[in-house]
Amino acid sequence: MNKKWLTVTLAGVFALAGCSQNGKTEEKIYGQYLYNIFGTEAVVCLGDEATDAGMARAGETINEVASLLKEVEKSLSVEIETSCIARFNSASPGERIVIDQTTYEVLSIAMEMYELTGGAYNPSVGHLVDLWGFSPRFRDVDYQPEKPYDREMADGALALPSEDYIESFSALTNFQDVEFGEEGDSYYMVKPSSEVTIEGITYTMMLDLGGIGKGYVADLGAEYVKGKGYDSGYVSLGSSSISLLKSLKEEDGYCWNLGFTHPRPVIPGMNYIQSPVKDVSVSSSGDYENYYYVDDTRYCHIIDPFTARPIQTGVCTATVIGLPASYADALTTALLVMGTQQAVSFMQTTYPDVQYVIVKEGTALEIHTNLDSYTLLDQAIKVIKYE
Amino acid sequence: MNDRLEQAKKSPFFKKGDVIVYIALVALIVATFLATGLSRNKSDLEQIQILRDNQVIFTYDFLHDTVKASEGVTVEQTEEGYLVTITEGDARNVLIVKKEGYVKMLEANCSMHRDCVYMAPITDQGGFIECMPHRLIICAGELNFDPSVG
Repeated sequence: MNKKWLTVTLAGVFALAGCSQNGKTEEKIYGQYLYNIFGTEAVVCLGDEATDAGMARAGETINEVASLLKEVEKSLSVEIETSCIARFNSASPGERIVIDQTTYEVLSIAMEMYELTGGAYNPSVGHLVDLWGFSPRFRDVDYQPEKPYDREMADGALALPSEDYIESFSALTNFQDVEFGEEGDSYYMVKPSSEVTIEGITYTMMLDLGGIGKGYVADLGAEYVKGKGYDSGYVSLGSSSISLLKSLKEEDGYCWNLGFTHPRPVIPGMNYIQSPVKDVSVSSSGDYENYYYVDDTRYCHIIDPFTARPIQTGVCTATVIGLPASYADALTTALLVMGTQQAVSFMQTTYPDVQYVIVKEGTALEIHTNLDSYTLLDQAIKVIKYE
Repeated sequence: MNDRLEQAKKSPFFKKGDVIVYIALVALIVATFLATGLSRNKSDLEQIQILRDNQVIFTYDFLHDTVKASEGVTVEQTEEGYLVTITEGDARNVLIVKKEGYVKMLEANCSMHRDCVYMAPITDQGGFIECMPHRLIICAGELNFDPSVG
């Protein structure tokens, strides 16, 4: 081979080496944490070109998603005084509140899931959530009792509330009494007339759509980035709701290897299974996110609307894959309330094409699932598979 | 047969070429043991970063023992490494960074539960501690965005 041909060949080899596969520019995942959205952090990840332009574009889109999420939070957050839900909560019995389209849409989803789950999902347990010590104010390091039913916190636990308050607040959980609708170009909701007076203070219904709201914004964020032309990435709200596009890993079929948080981890942060997923929303609820113990009994933030107490059904976590995250959020809460048997039966009859993972606590943990593809990471857990 | 045996008895056990091979083999075995032994005691940590609002405010390079800290981060040298205190208004977090390759949140006034204090220490690249209320992330290597739910 003479020098000329050698030079051409070498040049060709180097040129080819400089190109990525199929002549496509290499892509990478750009991620960012967004803080204090619905009292938690969001993570937005986008796959874009591994160039300065790609990084700038992804960063700009993530900022736009952040603005979008904050706008929705203004409608739904109970902690923002001017939000539609906060105004409803402080309204008088019978008062009519003007609400926005976002609130109307989320309320519609909430009512649909309330009826479908027979009340197992019930967003009107706000007073009970506060009574049992799971409102945001209890996470404050400077927490001090301020309401007549508050108890002192000792070693991160509260004494149990009085039965009078449990019973009284239970009377304010008739979510079906919330009237809401469209009127011309606007929307409204009406505060139910129910009220209770205890120790001289009158209480009315209190809604909390935070759980369902996280799923709603996860899906909204994912739709937004798809609209901007992205097909890889995800939008996650506090890890309880995640809307996934594709990953960049061709070898994995562009699936994300989604980890499921272990409800009783030996090592903090460990997962109990992982499953390949893409272009799907996933929501999860669990009794390990916020809880305390009194006399060896765990009291968690998921309130059973039927008992007016934190759930004691033995389900420690439920995950649903394949529904819009807002629906799945409500559903996973309901599955924890139902208990394992009823939850599995409900999924089989109501959502036969939707995948679920329910973890039951007994002498050992048990997974009840119809998940097709997964890797069990904790071999101590027994798996009961359903078709 | 006897001649061959006699020849073998007379020939040196170690020929020059054999000696070189044997020395090389022994050296390789010793080197492998040393490398394995050393790496068992040495952490995989190369660098950790602390981010607040996704901006880097502290970096420690384990290989070169170099510290970079922004405003609001104070670093106190200890026998084992460094005590890193991060403050922002009333918010306060304290971490221990050991040169041997260990990072742990010791104190925080973020919330009643102080979840970050109970997170597993970072001992390998990819390790991660988060203090959500104070918008802090402590990570070894690039932030891992592998998704998880629950």
